Amino acid sequence: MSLSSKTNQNSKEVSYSVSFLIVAIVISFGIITQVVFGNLHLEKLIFPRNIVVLFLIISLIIIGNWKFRGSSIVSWLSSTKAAISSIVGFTVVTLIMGLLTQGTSTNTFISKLGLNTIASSWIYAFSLLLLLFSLGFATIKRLYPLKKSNFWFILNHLGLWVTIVAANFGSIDQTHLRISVSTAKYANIAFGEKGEMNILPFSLKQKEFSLETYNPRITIMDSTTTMISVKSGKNTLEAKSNNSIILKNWNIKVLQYLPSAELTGTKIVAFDSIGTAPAAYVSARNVQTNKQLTGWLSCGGNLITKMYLSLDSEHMLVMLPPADKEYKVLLYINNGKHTFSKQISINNPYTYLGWQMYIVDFNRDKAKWSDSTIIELVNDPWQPVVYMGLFMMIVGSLFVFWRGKK
Amino acid sequence: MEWSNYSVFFFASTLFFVVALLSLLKTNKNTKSLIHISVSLGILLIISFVTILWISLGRPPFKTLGETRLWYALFLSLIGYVTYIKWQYRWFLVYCLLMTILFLLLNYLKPEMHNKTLMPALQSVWFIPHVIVYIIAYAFLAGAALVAIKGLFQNYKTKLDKSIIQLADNLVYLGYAFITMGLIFGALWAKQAWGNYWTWDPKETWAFITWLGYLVYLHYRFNHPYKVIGPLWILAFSFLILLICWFGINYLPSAQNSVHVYSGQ
Repeated sequence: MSLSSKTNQNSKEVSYSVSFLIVAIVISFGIITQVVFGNLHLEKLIFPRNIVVLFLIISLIIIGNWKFRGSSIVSWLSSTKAAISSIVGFTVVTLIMGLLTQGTSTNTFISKLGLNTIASSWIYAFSLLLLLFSLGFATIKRLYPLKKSNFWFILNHLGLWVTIVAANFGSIDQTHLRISVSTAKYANIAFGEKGEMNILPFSLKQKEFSLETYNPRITIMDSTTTMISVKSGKNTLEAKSNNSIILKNWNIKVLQYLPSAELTGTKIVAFDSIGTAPAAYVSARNVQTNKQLTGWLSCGGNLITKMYLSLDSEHMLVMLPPADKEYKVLLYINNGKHTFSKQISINNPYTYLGWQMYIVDFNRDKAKWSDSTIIELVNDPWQPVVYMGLFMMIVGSLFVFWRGKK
Repeated sequence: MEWSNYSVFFFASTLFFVVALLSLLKTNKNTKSLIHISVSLGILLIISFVTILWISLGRPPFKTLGETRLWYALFLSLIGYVTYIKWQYRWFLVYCLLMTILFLLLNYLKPEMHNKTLMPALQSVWFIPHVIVYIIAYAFLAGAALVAIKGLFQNYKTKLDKSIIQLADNLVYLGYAFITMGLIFGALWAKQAWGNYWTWDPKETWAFITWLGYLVYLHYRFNHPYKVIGPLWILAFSFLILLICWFGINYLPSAQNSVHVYSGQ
């Protein structure tokens, strides 16, 4: 490598206005490409194509740094000015994403420019590429020759570079599938986001399911709009015996709470079976008029109807469905040779044969007696690379914390 | 013994931290050694309790919220103390010790308390680190914003004290380290909960924009060590973005489906 080719920074120094102009031109190219070609079809860049593109980017950075270190374009790309202007450029693109609702848009101007699908637009791709080149050239300048004093700089910059690349290129190779697993029989056919069928290298069956819920909450609802009447502050009461609250001049008290109840004739009785629902016997007394009411509330299930208490012509006392606390499933996993079981809950996925399994949902009608579970399967071959980049950034930020400004 | 002896450790370490806080009010030679002694003893007591708990449980005490809070108390006091030794930031030690006492107190009042109606995805080991790291980051960056406002006021109304930028730098470097970790912890948590690191959820998007804002500040300061007013404006502007990220997104139409927008109950 020709290290002797010294650069004359001063004569090639690009001003801020030129830097920002370059970024504006790059983003404009993104806009033009977007208008002409429409959204970027990232899924076409599937392995090994993404590796080829990545190889090209890395080669350009290495060759640029090696052979054209003195050129104005390379010295600009590795400069702080390029860093600042490309960060600002990318910030503007991200701001659009933050301000405009992402998804389908009826506005033709917005959808033509891809502003409602920024993350898969050419504008995003161009501004990100510029950021990657700027970051790449700044990093390689410090990588060769390697100096101890540049250690934290490299950790932060290379870490970010690796993270951006692995997250963006890696998302193309990520597969997300969903499978419905029941207690009835083993299943091994999972479906992709567009409904495509995939056969898994193992099959799954539900062994056990458990659901814990919080006690349901009681509140006053507007009869016509069916919205919660009290908008802010403490506006609900936990359904629990002897709990009380004053809402909209009504003193509400829970006299009896049944976590699981059914309606037999006109009576509410405690019963623990599929189709039951929580119920509460409550009293409501208007502190101004002294009007007193008592009655049963229930959020309703197959064995008990939804029950509420009319307070006046505009308001009714209702029980909201209980919120999930935790749900987990114990799965049988069969790989063709042997079977074993594994528990999956939210925040505790299980990885088998490269597939990360996440619990997504269950049969809500059957609640804790659910006999089927929806499992999301994720295959993410780039995960170790992303983790490596993130790890470098964590160590790098600890350095920033420790060293401060030096 | 598990949690049964906690109150003894709690009262003893809190006492030491309170002594340290009182000594921090006025520093002279005598109080300086008192700060060092009381803070180290307080930290040592927490370490002893964690060690005993670990041994008696036969597993790392990382499972319940009460246990993670204990680690937080330990790390906060450690970070505060280390920063104090290195830069003599009294206010930061005060902040860390107050937070430590708060966490110790919460554990004393309800050692196994679980936040009610915490949706399943929030019941994660990442919850506390993610939130606390962000709280610390926001505290630093709010400090930096105050410095920026003071500097800008001085510049346009009175006389600018240029050394003010050094304090801003220190605050931003610390805040930036924390905001980076908060962002990364969030991504790692999202991967564990939903299988995706990043989904451009509006809160993520705005947190990322905030991060970029401070990134611009750091690079601009690096490139122009003698400029003051420009960087102060960048700081003020970045804090504005931070505020949008923190509260403002609740009002943005683009953020109505965010997992981070919480409806009150």
